[in-house]
Amino acid sequence: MRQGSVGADLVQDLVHADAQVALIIYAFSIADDQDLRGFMAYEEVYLDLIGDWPVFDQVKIIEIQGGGWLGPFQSALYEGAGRAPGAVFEDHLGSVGGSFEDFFQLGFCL
Amino acid sequence: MGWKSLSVFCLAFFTNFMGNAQTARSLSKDSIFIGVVLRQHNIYREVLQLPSLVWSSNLAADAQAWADHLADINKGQHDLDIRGKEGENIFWGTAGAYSFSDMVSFWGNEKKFFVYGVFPDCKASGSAVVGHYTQIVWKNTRSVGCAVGRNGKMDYLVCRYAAPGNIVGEKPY
Repeated sequence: MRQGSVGADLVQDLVHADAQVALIIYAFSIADDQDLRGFMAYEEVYLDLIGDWPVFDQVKIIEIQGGGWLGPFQSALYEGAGRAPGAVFEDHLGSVGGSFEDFFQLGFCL
Repeated sequence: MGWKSLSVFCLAFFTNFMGNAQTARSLSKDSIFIGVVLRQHNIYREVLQLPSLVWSSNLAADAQAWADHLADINKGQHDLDIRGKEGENIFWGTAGAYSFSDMVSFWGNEKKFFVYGVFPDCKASGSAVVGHYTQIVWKNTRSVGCAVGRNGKMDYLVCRYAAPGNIVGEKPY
C-alpha cells in the first residue's frame, strides 16, 4: 500500500531512528494492517531504505517474539497516533529501560 | 587464592572460552550440522525432482570466514566480493533461539510467495521476498557449504552456493 504524502515525513523520522527500530515498526505495521492503516506507510519506507540495494539484498524480518512485552508496545503506538511511531516506540523503550534486543526475540534473513 | 588455584582457574576459563569459540568454528565440519543443514536444503529440491545439493568444504570455509566477520561486527550484510562466484543466504537471530533446521526453513518457507517465472519477478507481490528460496532450488546450483558465527547476542548462519543462483532474467528451474 502506498501512502506517498505520509511517507515523506516518516522517512525523516526513521532515518533519524535506529535502523532496527524502523524494522520493528515495519513489523508492527504488518501486524496491525487491519486496525492501524496509517502505519502501513512503513512498508513503503522500509522498501525505500533498501531501494538502492541489489535485488538479492532484500532484508526481511521473519520473526519477532516479544511475549508479554508486545502488548504494551502496541498500546504505546496506538496512544501515540499522530506522532512519529518511531519516536513513540523509542520513548516507550526508554521508559522501560533497555534495548529492544532485551525484550524481543529477533530473526532476520538477508 | 594461591598460585596453584589461580592457575587452575585460568586454565578452566581458557578451556571454556576456547571451547565456546571452537564450538561455532567446528560446526562447519561437524557431520550432524552438515546433515541437518544439507537435508533441510534438499527437502525443497526433492519436491521439484532437482538434483540434491552436495556439501562443499571449500564453500563452508568461505562461509565460516564471513560468518565470523558478521558476528564480530554484529550486523547482517552480504559479501560483495563473491558476486558471480558464489551465492549467499544469511540468517541471523537471537542467540540460542533458533535451531539450524529452523534457520534454513525460514528461507525455504518463502516458497509460499513464489510464483514460477523469471527471476526476480517470480513472486506473488512486489514486496514479497523469495530470493532465499530460489537460491535453494536454483537448477544449476549443485553444492553448498554453511557455517555459524556467534557473538553471544546473535547467531549468524551463512550458506554459500555454487554455481550461484538468482540470475536476473533466468528461471530458477
